[in-house]
Amino acid sequence: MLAKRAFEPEFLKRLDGLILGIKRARTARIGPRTLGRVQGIGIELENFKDYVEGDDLRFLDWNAVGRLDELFIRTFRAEREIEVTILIDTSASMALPAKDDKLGLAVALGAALAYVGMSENDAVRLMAFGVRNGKTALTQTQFHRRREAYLGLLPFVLGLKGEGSTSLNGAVEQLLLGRRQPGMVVLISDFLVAAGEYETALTKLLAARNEVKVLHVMGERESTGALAPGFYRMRDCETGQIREIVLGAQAAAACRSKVEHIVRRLREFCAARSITYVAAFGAANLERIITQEFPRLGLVR
Amino acid sequence: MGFLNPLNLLYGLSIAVLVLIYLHARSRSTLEVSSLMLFDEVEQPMAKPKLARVDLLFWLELATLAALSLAVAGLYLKLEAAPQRIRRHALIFDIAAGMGAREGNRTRLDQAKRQALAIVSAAPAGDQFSVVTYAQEANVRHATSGDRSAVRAAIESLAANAVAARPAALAAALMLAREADSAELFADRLPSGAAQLDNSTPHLRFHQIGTDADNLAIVSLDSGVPGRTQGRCVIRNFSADARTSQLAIDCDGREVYRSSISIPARGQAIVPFGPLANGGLLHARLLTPDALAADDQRWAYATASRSFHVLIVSPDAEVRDDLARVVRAIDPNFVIAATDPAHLKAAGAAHFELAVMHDLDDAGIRADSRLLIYPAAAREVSVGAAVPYCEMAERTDSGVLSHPVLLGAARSIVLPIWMEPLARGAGPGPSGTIPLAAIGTNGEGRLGVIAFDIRGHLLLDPDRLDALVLTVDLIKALAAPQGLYITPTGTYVSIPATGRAQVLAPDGTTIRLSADQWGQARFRPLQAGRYQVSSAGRSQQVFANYYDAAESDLESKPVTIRAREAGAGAFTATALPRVRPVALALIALAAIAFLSESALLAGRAVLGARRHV
Repeated sequence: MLAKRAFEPEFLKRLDGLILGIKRARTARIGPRTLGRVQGIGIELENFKDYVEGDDLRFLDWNAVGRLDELFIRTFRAEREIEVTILIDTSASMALPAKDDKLGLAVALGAALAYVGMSENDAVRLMAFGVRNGKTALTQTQFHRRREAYLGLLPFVLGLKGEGSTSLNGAVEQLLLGRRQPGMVVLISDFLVAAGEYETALTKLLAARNEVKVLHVMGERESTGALAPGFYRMRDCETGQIREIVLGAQAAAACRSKVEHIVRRLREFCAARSITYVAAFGAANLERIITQEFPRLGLVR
Repeated sequence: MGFLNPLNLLYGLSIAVLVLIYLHARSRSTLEVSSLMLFDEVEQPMAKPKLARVDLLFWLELATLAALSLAVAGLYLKLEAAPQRIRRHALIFDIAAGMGAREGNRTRLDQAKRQALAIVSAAPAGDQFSVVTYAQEANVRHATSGDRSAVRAAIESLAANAVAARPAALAAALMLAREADSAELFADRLPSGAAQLDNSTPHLRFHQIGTDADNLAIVSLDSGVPGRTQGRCVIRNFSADARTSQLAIDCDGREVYRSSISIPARGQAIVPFGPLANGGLLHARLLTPDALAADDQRWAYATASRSFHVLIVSPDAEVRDDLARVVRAIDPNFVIAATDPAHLKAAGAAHFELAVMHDLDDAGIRADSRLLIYPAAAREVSVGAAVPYCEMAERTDSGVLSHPVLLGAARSIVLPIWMEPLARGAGPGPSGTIPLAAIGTNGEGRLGVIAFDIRGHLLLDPDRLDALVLTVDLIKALAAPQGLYITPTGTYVSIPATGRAQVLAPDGTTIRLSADQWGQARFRPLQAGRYQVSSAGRSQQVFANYYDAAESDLESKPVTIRAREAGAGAFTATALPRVRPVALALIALAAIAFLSESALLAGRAVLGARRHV
């Protein structure tokens, strides 16, 4: 499986030195500014201020009291931390075509981004979604902040299987129910759903003030329509719908046209909303995508 | 439409196998994809997916298998016979001995001929006729044709044989005539079992020939022992009234007996004569004419009083004793020497007229005729393994025995072509019929073989008299002088000959024969009387005796055969359906389908190669 590749030392060595391309300032304070009551919870001293009633006495500068006999409260710079959620589509469509190892590519890309984020001590978690027994299921790791904990993601990654149908909207709704502080959400999917669904899901993420990145994953064969010519009875792995199709040169061209249409529409939607869109087509292109496409599109620096 | 071999339709199951293979192949074409959305712009196939929409190769293979299955099953088309202007008629004649019976100045066969000729003359122009005869066997004397003169000539040439008609021959004759639109059967009676032919031959019309006729027949002739015992002649009266006839018996041309005898209605008389002064050819004849002449004379051979040396060799003393008794009973004048094989050297130098050898090979004995009983080995006969018991079921000269006779151990023998089997039977298990006794003549003289063992006083067992009779007949035949054959009519006779042989029949006709590689000329006497066989300046005589109790009884018994068409002598079309087999067309269809499939495959291969290039 391609996902294992993301844990190989040789592969990780190439990721060293990369940092996530996060547009929001790292010094942003947590929550709205309030006078005195809520301080930064960081460890870097920012300033002093006069004590007023109600201030937390734990932050009183007792040395100043001893020398100057005046009450000063120490204020700190807020934590330079941003939560990165890497949301991976694990529906059945991600497992097909099996030879394309689409899910492996998606997981490898997600894990690589997680590694990059953890290298900068960002809080990173992996989250997989799919529909199980008719309900949207969201499985996730805890936040990891240090890259030494990277290997802790391995069991989660290896346990991912492509099954069930896709429910982008449901997954996003469940994610937002956690009411975490806005952060960076990387959505990795094949987006083989109705355009309205992913548009709604992405819009909701943006509305929650998240910085959204889209990784569009597709297999080599399905993106080019490279199937052996012949008469096929095709079955949709998620809906079970069956359709008789004669594959040939014309059908392959039609298939490619459809993929281009899906890509174009998704790309335009993302561009209009400042969402970074990365097309990751073909498992063979894993390293090129990470080392060339991600920096080019600003996903990493 | 129908099938000649419906069971062979089971070969059609191969079609089911083909369909299963096809369905299996189709099931593999199901492809699971991530989303059908990708194929939204792919055009739908023109035809909706159906089970019947399959590769052309499948249909060609299906057609091939179906055609071959139907061909193997013998598919035929039943065509309604259109009213024909030309009809085919089969004229079937019984030519057994009974048809030779005279009524007035004509025989029954003459009457049949006259009726048949009348039918031929009355038939519309264009109708075709075939002439079929039967007695011992069925023969087509004239194949179906519209040549009236040829048909009349074939009818005129018919002559009665001095043999009995067999039911199987009648059945075969009707089979030969089954293609005809109507069959006219001319016979004085039907052989037993022929009544069952009613349903199987619905287009058959029976013409019973003849009325009651008086007949006396010589049933048997026993010469007795010249100079010792009287001979006997058995005469049977088949008439409804007492009949008187004059019987004369000659021996080598000299009359030895003449007397008038009176026999009651349907009775028989045993006429003693002799004893004969000398042996020779005995000829008995009824001088008073009656309806059937074939059974009015009979030949037998009286052993000459000359010294006739017989050697009996057997390892078993009881067998030697039994054989000596039998041989002496046949002719007390025989000089018999019986010995154990261990003491054979003493008799080895002497010459014998007849050597009877039991359970040993025949090497080193000089004899004109040899009889091998339960042979251990023989030069001329291939002797196989022994079987623990056997049953004698049939005598070739007198037919199937009323009850099979259980005999003892036997050795299976394979006869050379120049030997005639005299008796047949069956061994244990499904071994089929095996020869139990045979006789023949080759360059070394006459040879007789009895395959079963006669130990345990088998020949003297009253429950197995048929074995004794068979042995006596065989010894008599072997003791008869060279160049003289007395045989029942209808049986084949093998006569030593060189090159070509000419047979002069009793009616003056001549038959030309060719000797086979063993120097034997074979023919079958079908008339009672004397046949003279000439070959390379040598003349031999065959005397054929005829008697059959059923055939000699000339009482006319009504035969009821349901006629399909009303009105004797009137022709009506029989609209029998015609059967036309279509196997050839089916095979041609299969071949065309097969070739088309091959061409299609070749075309695809070429196309595929181009694509790859």
